[in-house]
Amino acid sequence: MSTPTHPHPVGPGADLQGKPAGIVTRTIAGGIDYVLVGFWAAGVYVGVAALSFLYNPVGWSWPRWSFGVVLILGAVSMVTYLTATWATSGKTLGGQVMGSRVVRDGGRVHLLRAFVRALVVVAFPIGLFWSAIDTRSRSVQDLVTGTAVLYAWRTDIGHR
Amino acid sequence: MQDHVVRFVDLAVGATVAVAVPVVGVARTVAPGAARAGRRLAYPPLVPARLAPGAVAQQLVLRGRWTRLRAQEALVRTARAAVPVVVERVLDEIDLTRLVLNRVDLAEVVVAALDELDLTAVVTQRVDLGQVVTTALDQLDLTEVVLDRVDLHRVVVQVLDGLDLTALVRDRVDLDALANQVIEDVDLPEIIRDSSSGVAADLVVEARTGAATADEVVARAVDRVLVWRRRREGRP
Repeated sequence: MSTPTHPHPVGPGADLQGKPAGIVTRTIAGGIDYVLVGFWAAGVYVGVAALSFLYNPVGWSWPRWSFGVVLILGAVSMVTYLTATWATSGKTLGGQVMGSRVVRDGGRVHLLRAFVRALVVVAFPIGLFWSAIDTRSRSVQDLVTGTAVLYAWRTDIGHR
Repeated sequence: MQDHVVRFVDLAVGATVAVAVPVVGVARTVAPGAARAGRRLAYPPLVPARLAPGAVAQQLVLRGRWTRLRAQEALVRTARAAVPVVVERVLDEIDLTRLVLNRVDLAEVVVAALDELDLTAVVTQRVDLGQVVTTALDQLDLTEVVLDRVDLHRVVVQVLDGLDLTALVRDRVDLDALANQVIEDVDLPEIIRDSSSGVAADLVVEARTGAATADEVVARAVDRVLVWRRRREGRP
């Protein structure tokens, strides 16, 4: 991994491209994704409230969702979102911002593998921190699904 | 000497008077009779008037006058014809320029002429000034002349010193229109878009490099703590 194989090693951080992304980058990217899904869940809640207002304006009040419902909504949204982004570009929105990409053997992750990885991430988010200890910066989900997260600020890295 | 001459003159006058006075007296006495006698002789009685000596003399007078006038006319004609030829000959003989230069005080002549003349009026009336100026300008390379002869730097500096450029621009330039034109020509929204997207891109790059640096710091810290990992990586 010490010699860059990509053809345009220019600009800041050019020597990092294609190397395993570190814990800080991945944590920030994940944080952005969590915030995004949080907004999405809030949007769903407001949408449902608006629909219920249209259905029954007189007796309307804010919908009361139990913690479990919210948790399941968030988890389903998260798994869907992560699966879709990893299986297509390999970059979630957080990954887009921080320039990190999820790959399998240096290429695109299969849909099923992406789904499994998303399940592991949602069920065991703290597994991310294993990447600080692992010699190749692999988190628990990476170890389970055989994937890796690389610095990929340029679009051609890990995209084949 | 002078006295002698005067005396001679006086003598001559005295002698003339001495002879003339009796002659005049006789003439006065005789003259009326002589005139009457002359008239009788010119028109004698018994001679027809046409053949009388007086009439003949009268005719001779008329004929003589006529001849004289004809001769006079002919003479004038001839003289007129001769004048140009003679003048030309004379002028050929004379170096007129030299003559004028030697004999004439030209300075005085010119001064007198100039005093008499209103030169400005003469030039204005008689000279086609437009054509003169055009011809002169056609023959001159005015740009070259100005570049050679004029200290342009000094002229420009002098002019600029004399001008209040700011006031001039404020007075003469429609600054509002100019500013609007400039703003229209410059695609301001595009510039703002460019610069703001540049700012966003810079921010992202900053975030990525900052995070990557933090990654490195964390990795080193972990290396320091976890000895086994350091060995496996082959790092000191």
